[in-house]
Amino acid sequence: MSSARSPVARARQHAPTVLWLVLMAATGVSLVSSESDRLSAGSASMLIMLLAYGKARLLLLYFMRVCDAPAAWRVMFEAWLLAITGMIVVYALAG
Amino acid sequence: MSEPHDAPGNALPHRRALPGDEGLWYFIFADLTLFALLFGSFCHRRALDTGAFEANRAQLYPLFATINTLLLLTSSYCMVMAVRARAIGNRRRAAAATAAAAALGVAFMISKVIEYAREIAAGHLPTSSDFFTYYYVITGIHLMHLAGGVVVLAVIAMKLAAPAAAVREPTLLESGASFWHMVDLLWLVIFPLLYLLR
Repeated sequence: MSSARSPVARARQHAPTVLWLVLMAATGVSLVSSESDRLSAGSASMLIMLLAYGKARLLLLYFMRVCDAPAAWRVMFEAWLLAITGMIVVYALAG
Repeated sequence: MSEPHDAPGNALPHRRALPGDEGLWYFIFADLTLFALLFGSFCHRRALDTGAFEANRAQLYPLFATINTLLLLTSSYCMVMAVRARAIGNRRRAAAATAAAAALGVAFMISKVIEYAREIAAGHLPTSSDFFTYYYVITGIHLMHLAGGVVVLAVIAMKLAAPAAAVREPTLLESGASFWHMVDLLWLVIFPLLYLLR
């Protein structure tokens, strides 16, 4: 059986397109969350930063291909992202 | 370090490596660290005067920033497709996808210039307040990275489109793509930090 026809290969082929659509949709949700009156400032900030973390991590791992990097590189980039988003959330909730 | 391991159906043994030139990744991490300092400085200053920062933030145009986010995400997607096309030997498709990514970068720049013009027309100058100082510095430095990336992508697209195989190995394309994704990654943090957080 040709590997190009296997479900795994097909899923791998379409993965970037699915990922792109997820990232686009999450961006729309971020904007709506920011402008929604139903959410408190704290809740909105948490949701916005959670979405930002998820989007940035997906981009980092699968578009930048850090998922294929040696462990030390992956730890560095994941730590950078976690530190940045964690810091922003802490300051936002404290403010 | 630049195996075409992400080609559809590629059965090459998997090897842990970063795409493109390894030296570039040191630069990317150093750049991300510098931006982290900027973000930290912004957060600290904002915490000291949340009311004024929030009042200024509310005067920005989040729709511009949202459109710019969609442009950059689509541009990054184009670069993923360019690397994939190159990996299976389709140089023309790789050139077209890289050129599309650069064009979307230009669209981002045009949108940003319009946004700046509207802010300046509204009297929001870099010296107007601490918030606007940070706004112009952070988005300005990001825009310079983006402009540099557009030039790099345009050069890569031309090399890929050249009839003679000017780009025989994928390191240049993968390096350009990695830098471009970094520009996108930074924007994914700048977007909520400046425009969305209440």
